[in-house]
Amino acid sequence: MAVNGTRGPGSLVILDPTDESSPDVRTAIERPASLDGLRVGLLDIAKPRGDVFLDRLAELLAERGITVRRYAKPTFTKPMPPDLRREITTECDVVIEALAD
Amino acid sequence: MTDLDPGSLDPGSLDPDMAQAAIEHCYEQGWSDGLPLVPVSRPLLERFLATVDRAPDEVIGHLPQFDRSVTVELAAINAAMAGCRPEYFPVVLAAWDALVLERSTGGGGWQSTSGPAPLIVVNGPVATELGINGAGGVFGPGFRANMTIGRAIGLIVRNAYGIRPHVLEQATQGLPGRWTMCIAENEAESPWEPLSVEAGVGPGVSAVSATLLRTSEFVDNRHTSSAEQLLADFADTLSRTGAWIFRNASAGVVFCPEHAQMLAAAGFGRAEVRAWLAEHCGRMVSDLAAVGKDGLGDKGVRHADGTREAGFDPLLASAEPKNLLLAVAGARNAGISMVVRIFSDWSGRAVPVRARERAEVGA
Repeated sequence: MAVNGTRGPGSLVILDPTDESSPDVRTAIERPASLDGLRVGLLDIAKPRGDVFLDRLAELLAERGITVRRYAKPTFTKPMPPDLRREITTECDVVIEALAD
Repeated sequence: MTDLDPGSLDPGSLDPDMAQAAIEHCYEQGWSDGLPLVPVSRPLLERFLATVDRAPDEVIGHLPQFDRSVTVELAAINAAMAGCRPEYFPVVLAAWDALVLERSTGGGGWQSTSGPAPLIVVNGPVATELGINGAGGVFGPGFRANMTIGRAIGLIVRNAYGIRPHVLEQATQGLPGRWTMCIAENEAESPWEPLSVEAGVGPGVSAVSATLLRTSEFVDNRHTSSAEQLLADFADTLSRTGAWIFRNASAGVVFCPEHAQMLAAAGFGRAEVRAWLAEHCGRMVSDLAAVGKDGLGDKGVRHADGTREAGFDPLLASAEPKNLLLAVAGARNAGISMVVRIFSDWSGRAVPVRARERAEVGA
């Protein structure tokens, strides 16, 4: 926290300019060893040609017998709407997000 | 920790070795944009907070994608680190508030591949009081207030939001002078009302207007007496295809006093300049096809198409201030102005500078 600062050289307390009042590290789930039996989501963040990449990914996954659910953010310029986030977490075990341009 | 007023110290008593060690400490924490920082003590922070009537824990910015916030206190620490004097802080806050009004800064704008740069324009008596340059060499360097107020915004983004290159910031190349474009409008030599007045703040009130830019480019035109020829030169630079990626684009011009006065003498106010440029800026569809930008998709992103009929695509979506910001700054010694390219569009609203009453400062 900024109010605590950090103890620099000597006895001066040098104030911390970062926002550490809320953690910015979130826990990611363990990387699965296999996609077999898992529900896989593909998320298009709505940058141009993201669909090209995701279409190919869906084909490659289909060759392995894995079907996917497709999702799209309304715009890449804003965070995902909470409803969409809930929908994905309810319907999928893993999600692959594409950034293209 | 003692409350030292640096101005009252005997230069012979200063300890450069200690100062260097403190600066290195700041580098080691990852707080720096690459240049040395001013290490901030509690007394220095208090001098900054004393210049404004705002609670230190007031949240003045929040990014939901990683749940980080900017408070008045964090802004003050970063402004002090940037090298601002305490009395600059009300301008830093007004600049920040003006940037928060921008549509692009509430989403992913600060993280964009374009690495956009704030353009901060200061109007009113505060510019003179703080020595914010609006005349020769206005885009710097050489003036503490101009350089450090802009840098303060950059450090707030870096440290309070945690947006750093190669981490949360995705800038492909970034932008020269990204955090140093803070200028005063040259009101003394501008033929027009202050930018802040057009942007909704009363005359004589200190205020800040700000937007995000993708780049800037000069227009040097000293040898015509025709206002229309001069405007046509601006239209040509404004209409470059390289900077044009959506259906329309927003831009601005920081006119030198000579160009602005020449236009005013020919009867052009800001609105007339805007109307003329809105009509003339743009490209033929064939020009756009030649560079693979004639096609317009659902979201308005330009792409190669090749099937459109001949026609003219206007650059600006409208002749409103949000699509074309016009300011006046620089020296009256040559006809050199700056075209700027706005990242999305401008809010069109200036923010008054709210400093605590002078008598209270330091009380």
